[in-house]
Amino acid sequence: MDTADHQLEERRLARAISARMQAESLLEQKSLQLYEQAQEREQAVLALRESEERYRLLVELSPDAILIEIDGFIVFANAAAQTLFFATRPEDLFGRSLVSLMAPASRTALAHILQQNESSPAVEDQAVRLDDTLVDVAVTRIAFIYRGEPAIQMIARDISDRKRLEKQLLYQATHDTLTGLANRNLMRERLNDAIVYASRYDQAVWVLFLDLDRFKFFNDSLGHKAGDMLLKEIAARLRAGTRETDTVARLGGDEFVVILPERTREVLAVAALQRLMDAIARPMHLDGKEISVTCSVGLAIYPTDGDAPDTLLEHADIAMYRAKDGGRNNFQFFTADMHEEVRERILIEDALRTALERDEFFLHYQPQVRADTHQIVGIETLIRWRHPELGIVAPNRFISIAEETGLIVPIGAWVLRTACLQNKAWQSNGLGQLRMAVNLSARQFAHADFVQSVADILAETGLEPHCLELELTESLIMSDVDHAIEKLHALKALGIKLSIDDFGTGYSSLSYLKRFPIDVLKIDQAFVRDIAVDPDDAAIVLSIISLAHNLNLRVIAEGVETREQVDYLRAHGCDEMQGYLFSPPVTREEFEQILASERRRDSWHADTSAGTAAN
Amino acid sequence: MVIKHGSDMKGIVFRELVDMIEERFSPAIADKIISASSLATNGAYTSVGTYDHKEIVELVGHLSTTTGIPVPDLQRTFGEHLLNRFALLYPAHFRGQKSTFAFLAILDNKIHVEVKKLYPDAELPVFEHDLADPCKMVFVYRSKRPFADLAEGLIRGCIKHFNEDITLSRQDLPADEGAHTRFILIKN
Repeated sequence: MDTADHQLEERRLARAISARMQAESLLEQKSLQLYEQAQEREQAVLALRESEERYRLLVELSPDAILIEIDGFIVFANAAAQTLFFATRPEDLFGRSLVSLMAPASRTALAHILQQNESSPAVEDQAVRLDDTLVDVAVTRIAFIYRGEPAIQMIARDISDRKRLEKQLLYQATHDTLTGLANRNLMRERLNDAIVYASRYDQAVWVLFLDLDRFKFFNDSLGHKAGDMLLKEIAARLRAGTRETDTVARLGGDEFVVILPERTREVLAVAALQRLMDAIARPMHLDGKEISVTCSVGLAIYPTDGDAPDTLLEHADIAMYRAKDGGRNNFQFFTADMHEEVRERILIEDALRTALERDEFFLHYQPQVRADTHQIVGIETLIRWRHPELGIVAPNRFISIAEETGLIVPIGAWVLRTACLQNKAWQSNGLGQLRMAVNLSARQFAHADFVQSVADILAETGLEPHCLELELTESLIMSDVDHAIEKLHALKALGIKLSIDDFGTGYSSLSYLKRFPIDVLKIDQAFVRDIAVDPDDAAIVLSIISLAHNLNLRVIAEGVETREQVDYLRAHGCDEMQGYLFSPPVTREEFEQILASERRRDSWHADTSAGTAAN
Repeated sequence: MVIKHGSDMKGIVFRELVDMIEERFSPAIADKIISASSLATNGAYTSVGTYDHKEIVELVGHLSTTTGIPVPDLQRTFGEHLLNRFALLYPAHFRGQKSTFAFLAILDNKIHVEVKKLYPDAELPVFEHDLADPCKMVFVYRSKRPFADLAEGLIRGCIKHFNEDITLSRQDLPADEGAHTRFILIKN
């Protein structure tokens, strides 16, 4: 081999080596690249495996039921799903479809959703367990790829406890706890619905406001437990006596409302009402006692008596009170004039609340005279009210309202104090030592501090006790005789006089009369009026006078208007008289004039007598 | 080894060129033209590497000078040689192809796709074909490199490989750089 050849071979060899080194370097580079890629892939696989493991744990330990469905077949269910659906093993759920696990009612809609193969937001639904019972669930469906295939994952949470609680809360919010009847809220809602329906179909709705008669008495005498049992029994009877579509509600206490919708024929509605009242009146056994309860019912009818729930209820309520006034176990339809009365009542009640502070009351005075000499010996005070807008409001329009609202207590105290002050003033002015008679109301008398307040007023005004006479009515005393007698003695101990007003009209037993520490009987003007023409009235008056005298009581006849009445009363021993014949109730000024003129007459008489005597 | 800028052609082509020169001419001529050229690798090529195509241009230029054979003829000859080698080295690409038309038709969107997968940085020429009728194929070659003659050689090699009677004509189209050539193949 020559040198040139040798050199050529060397260069070829060098190129071959260089090429091999390049190739090795490139291969190394490539294999490093492959290694790095493999590392990355391994990391990714690891991360994927971790994420899968996290998912698996999450799914298996989830308190929510999780099921996976592919092609309409469940292929996975977790432990919570097993529990929720009452399966023995999760595998028991495999092979079924998600749709088959939901309530039949929602299957069609669900099948449609699943067909879209889309995720759906959480909805509340009902699932069917393997034992065919239903359970309330909140369901979320997620479309995803599971093991390479399109799948649906369903997450179901048992919300039956919450649903039960919701139902319970709703029930409690709409029902009376004691009787299970609808409460006021639900009743108003039902009434509203009934009105809407009736207005569309031109029908009537009857609203019955029902109040048990003397429930307070039963409750007090039998005990609250028995009272509750009674209410439950009444509720059951009302429920039994009405249709499914009627509403029976308890508003509280012993007040019930019954709504009879879709009633067009009055005869039938009244018959239904009568049946209800009869059912209530049927005797019942409570704690081994047989008792009978009646009720009073007021009725208002849509659309005649109002078209709003509140109006109808108010009107039925008004009618109920009227039914009560008219005697128990009674029902009363609402009429427009009742509403007028109520309106006036509300007007007066409102005005009454501010009458004292606005100084709208004043007193009238009527003289009481001796039957023989006609000399003034006493004064009856009578309250008067002048309202700036209503004008003079007659006592019969406001006294009973004052009594019911309790306003009579401060008003009565004002009357008593004013009368005492006036009498004291007249005495100081030398107009004589007269008895001042003041009427008492039941509420006032029943007030615990009453005796003390009388003592305080006497002390405050300085009036001597024997110059004050308190007039009580029979019914006032008779409502709680023992307590009343105790109080009367306490008043008597103060030194004041006591009289019984309107005697003969009440229910007082004569046997009680002698136990009352009273001084005077007042004969009601109803007997006095016809004394001269009606022998019966004359006989009553006579017996009252003789009874009073036997008990050492004085007798005053009220409402004396004629000379004949005066003659008769005087002839039969009546001690004192009061009436228009002598003087109507008059103002302070007028009364002062009467007293003044009497004093002049007396002094004239006295002068004349003196003169005669002198003669 | 660092792949330098301009390394745009697969090493196999360079290897095959050197091999062909050594075979057809002689190792001495190959060594001579390598030594005469200014090559980044001094003519050491590995088939897994990538090199600047200008080195081929230079090598072929020196070969032409040395042998007196025009460059286009050398390129065509190299193309035919290259196709035979490809058929030998990568039989998978030829398997299943029964004709020149079929092979050329899948060249761009099948074989080059596979090549790209293996060598993401390879810069490959673009071929477009239009089979106007079953007997006539229009094949347009576009490359940044001035290898239209090489392409012609490859096509000729292909026709020989499938042992078909096809008349090849070519039409050079204007190009800013490299080559843009339309080949027309008509079956006889």
